[in-house]
Amino acid sequence: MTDFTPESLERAIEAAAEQARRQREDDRRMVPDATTRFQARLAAVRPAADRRIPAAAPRRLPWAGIRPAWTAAVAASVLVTVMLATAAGPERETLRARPGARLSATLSDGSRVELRGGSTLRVRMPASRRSWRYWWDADPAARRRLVELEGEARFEVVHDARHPFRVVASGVVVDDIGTVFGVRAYPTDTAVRIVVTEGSVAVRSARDAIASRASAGTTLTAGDIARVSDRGAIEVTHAADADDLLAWTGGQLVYRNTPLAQVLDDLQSTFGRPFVLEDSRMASQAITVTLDARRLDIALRTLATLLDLVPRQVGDTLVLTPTPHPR
Amino acid sequence: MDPESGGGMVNAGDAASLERLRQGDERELSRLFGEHYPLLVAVARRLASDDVAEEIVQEVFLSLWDRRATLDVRGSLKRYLLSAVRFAAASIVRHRGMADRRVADLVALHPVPEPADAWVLQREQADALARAIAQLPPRGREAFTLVRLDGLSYADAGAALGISPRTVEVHVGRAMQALRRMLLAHQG
Repeated sequence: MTDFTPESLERAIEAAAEQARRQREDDRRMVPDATTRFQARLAAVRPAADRRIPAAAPRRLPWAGIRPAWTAAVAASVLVTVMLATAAGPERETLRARPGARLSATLSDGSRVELRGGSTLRVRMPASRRSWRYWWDADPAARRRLVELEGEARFEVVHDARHPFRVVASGVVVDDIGTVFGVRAYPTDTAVRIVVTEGSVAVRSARDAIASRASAGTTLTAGDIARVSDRGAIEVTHAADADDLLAWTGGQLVYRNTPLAQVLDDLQSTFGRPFVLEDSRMASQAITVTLDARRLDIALRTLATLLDLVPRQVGDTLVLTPTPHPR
Repeated sequence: MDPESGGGMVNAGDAASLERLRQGDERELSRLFGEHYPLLVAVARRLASDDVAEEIVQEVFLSLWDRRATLDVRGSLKRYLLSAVRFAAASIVRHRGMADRRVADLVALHPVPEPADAWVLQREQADALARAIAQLPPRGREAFTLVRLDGLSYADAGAALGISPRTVEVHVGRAMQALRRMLLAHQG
């Protein structure tokens, strides 16, 4: 049992309050999405006759009574101008998906990214072609679209030979050759995994890429799965169900004959919480199941029902205990 | 103490909002939804669970919209919405039954898992505190989490719990004592 002093208790309460504040910030960021969902629900539940457009406000002198919508439009155009003005240098942005959440984003080059829970993606896009910098930077590397991944993401890259798209993850370099592919490199993973569902990519270890070895790396095509160990060894397998590995982008986790231990590791990466089996003999049991990748409670319920387990929370850890059967 | 708590007057901004709602202005409804969403969803999580929190907030605003013609808001709109969350939460919890809450509660206790390095240090204490909070009587737990963790004023928490600000204060004080009893008792 943990011992508290009055001071450490206050600190623990303050830490819990800090966590609640961060949650509130997340909620604030979610306001536009939540509002859209609410509007959709409002439209769905309400009889059509009820829909009324509010009477237009009486016209006033221009500018005297700027309506909020106008203000927003003006603000937006100012924002666009500011963004154009600053687009001179390379664009940098960081995308984060919090554990249990999934983030879809379209990058400025039109490429689509799905970011899995608990993942971070740092994006660097080359300077705008209209800026002097673009022409100034003769270095081809400066024209590269570069993303650094920690965690897992699916990329749908708009191919552009003049601006090669490169993913760097845990010392592995993946160069796009016109493709839909997934890269997985959570800090807890022992190997980086690359799955190609369309087109092809070239995979190299960062060391080889930096040394600019003549080899173009290992080329993967649709259906290929590569595992790159931390020593840079690349092992390629081909699987007809490679798509399953990216099912999380559709909000699902698909497992076929997968050891339970591996499923739990995966849930841990997805939801950012540790899972423990009380009966460790179950760890090697192979299961086939599709779980909800968005909602921990639903995923947990499915898994618990399938395996006849009861989830129990110990601190942050979810312990799965066999259901006691009265006899 | 809190300027909004005195009297039954509706403040000017709220009155204008309500008037626009009565005229059927959906944009105002959406705006209010966005303005109050972060607070209300936090309260809904505490009173019900994570997985139904957003639905509860939606219910609150759908019902606000349905009743816009006959709406009688005393005090601030925020307090009105907070108490509406309480009713919506109670109704959903009743509907789904408590069985459903067991698994959901596991999740709700730590709504946002933290990155490992951030909590590794104080993790044991955070766990012990979370367990102790979970053991508090429901009212005390709700009052304590709303006031001490979510930073609501006694008056706002009172609106959400349907009790007076003074009673909230008493609950928070008792919860704090109970936590000290549970967590400091092992010393010496």
